[in-house]
Amino acid sequence: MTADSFPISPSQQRSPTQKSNQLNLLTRIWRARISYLMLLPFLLPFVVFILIPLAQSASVSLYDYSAVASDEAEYVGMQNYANLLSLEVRELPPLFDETTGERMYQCGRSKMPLSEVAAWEAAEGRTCVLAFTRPRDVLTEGFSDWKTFSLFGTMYVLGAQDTRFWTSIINTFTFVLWTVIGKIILGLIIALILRRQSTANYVLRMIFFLPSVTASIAITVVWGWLFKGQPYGLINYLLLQGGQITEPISFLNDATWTMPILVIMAIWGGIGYNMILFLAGLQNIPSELYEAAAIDGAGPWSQFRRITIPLLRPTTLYILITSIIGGFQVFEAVYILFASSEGMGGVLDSGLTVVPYLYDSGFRLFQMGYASAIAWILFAIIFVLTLINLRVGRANDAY
Amino acid sequence: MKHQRILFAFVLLLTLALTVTTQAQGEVVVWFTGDDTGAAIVQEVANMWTAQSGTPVTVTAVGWGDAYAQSLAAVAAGSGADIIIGGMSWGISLGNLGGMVELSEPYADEIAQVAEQSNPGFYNAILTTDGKVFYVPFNLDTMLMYYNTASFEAAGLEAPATWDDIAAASEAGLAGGWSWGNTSWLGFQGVLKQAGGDWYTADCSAAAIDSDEGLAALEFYTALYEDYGFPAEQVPVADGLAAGTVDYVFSGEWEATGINAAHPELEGQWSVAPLPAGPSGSFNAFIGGKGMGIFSYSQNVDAAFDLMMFLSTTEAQQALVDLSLANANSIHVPPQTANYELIGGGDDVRAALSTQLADASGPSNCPGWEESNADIDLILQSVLFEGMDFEDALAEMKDVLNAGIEEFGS
Repeated sequence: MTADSFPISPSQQRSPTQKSNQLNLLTRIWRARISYLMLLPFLLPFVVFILIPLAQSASVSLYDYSAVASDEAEYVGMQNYANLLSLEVRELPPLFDETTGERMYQCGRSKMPLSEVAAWEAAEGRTCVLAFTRPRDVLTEGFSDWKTFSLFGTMYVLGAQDTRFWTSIINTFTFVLWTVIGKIILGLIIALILRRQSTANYVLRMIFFLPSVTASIAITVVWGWLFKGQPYGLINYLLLQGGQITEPISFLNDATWTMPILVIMAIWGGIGYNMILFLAGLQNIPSELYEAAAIDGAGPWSQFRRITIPLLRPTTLYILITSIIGGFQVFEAVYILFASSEGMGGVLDSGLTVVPYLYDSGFRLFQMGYASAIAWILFAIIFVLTLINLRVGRANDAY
Repeated sequence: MKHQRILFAFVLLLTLALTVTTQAQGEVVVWFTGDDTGAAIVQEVANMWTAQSGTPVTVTAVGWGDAYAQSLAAVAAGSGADIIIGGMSWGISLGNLGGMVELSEPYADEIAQVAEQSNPGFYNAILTTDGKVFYVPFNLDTMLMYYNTASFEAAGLEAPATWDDIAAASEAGLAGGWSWGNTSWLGFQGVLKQAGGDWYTADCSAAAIDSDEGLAALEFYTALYEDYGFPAEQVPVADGLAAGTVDYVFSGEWEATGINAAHPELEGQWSVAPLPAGPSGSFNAFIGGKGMGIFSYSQNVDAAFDLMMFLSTTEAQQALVDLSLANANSIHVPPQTANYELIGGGDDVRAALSTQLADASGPSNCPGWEESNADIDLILQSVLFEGMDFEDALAEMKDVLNAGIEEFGS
């Protein structure tokens, strides 16, 4: 039996209606050809500069690829993703003196047996802590220690193949959490304060909105000067003059200050934009609802809780999603404030977020496959968070 | 990966269309990493070569942030400038990717001469471990110590010449700091070599950081911050000296011409010296600078090499020194030891630089260094800010460096 002699299955047979539908589709496209033609100026760059690079990036993430020596690109499958995401937990055994068998203690930067601890503590006025085996000695080869923690009296080490990636992930989540909360709450408060139509409010709205239309690089440079760790850094100068401090604080080289500075800058730069969105949302709430509520005896707080918050849900959801996406993509502030000869993410990588780390991998070390894998993991995180937001927003959409 | 190459080439062509003018037949095109003033200075000197050779040259400035990526894109597309004048480590990294012309085989005599005449610290940093040469030195940058002469006179002290002098200066209440390379390998490397240590063994076969010298270096480096009051943040030299927040600062030679311009009141109140020496007697400082290399796709390799050799002559270096001072108020440091005498900026600057350049080292050329140095920074910062045990820190550094050798060594 030849291929030609196979009977045509019912599913392969086209009904007159299907043929007619297909004809109609072609006819519809032809009739709307002008519209499609007018779409082309957008569609063509979108495909060339967005869709194709996205597909290429997904493909590149499966290779050990340097961008230049592309002939030497090696297919590594999911290895880049595995290297980025691999974690392991190992118990850290206590450390004992090899000769005496005594338990070892960490006293300042030195390790010493128990018998010497009391003398050291008396001399230094400091306390020694139990010493443990060096984390790298218990971790699988290729893993480095990322965090150590104690659980039920036992010390553990959390190791990662790429500790800098995990640091950047935690930093990014911290940044997103605080900036989103700050920008939404403060944006809403300012919008409520400035909702009445008056000349003074128009001026204040403009002032609050100005950072949103100012170049972020210029803003970051100015913040850098404000937080300078010298006596002439403006914040240090004011604190010194006010007597709050006696020595200047090294804001930009102190791991405890790095993230608060990034968060403060992001909130300051973002509340004006959110304020405008909330103002638009507030103006869409019919005033009759407030009047009716007032007649029914509802106070301002009750009105805010029962009318304003629920009816602002679409606006809030939009701000939430765009703020999360924007937060995960933070780059300029980290790069301008912290990228220098001291590294990409500031001291101890305390300001390293995912996109600067991606940049470091892709454009300093030229590990393009690895950087692409980071980009896709970032995309997956944002995608999942956006889906959750939309689902939660829809589930609570009772109005 | 053919599709990726095509895409990369397409993006590059769009980029190049905006940045590069059409290259005339036989013309040598140079990308100069830096600003327009620097490029104009190189253009003027290159015109001297054009007058001799008849070959036109176009020099275009490319910003530091873009130059390496643009060079890679040019190599991927096989189109762009003939010569890149850029960061000292780029020669090896671009060369190892096949993007630069290896110079020691076709121009053996000239490269032997370059090796003989160049600052050894810089030349070693641009020489691959298997003896390949992709770069010729263009200029040098190194670290010096700037100090307030009045402060030291008032304290009855000379400028610190040894580690012990730093301790004495601290006891006398004099403050120091870094303006370049603090809390990173870049500053620590000088201290390490002053102690007599090194990152790797001479043949790059293993890490050598966990030595007694490494321990001494780490102890002194930590003492700078914990005992001698060096701030964790970079200290601007001119502003710091003027405000009195520091009495001595370690920074690059480029600061020398800017101090009086920024703070005229400091004129005659400051001087410059090599870094203080460690227990080994070395006063080693980090050395950087720019090198010149030819892209592998260039159709003008011989002309480009001839231009690079011209830029290495005393005549061209003298012009670069003079024009840099006159047009940009900056110091051009010639990479040839015999040309140190051309250095501008004053006798004290020339003397300090000439001495320092005799004991200066670039970044390691051992495999995996570039990929490891971010982790080295984190370990150094853990020591400084988290009280990490010195021996644990050295063991960590050793593991990181050895892992780099294993992964990236041949």
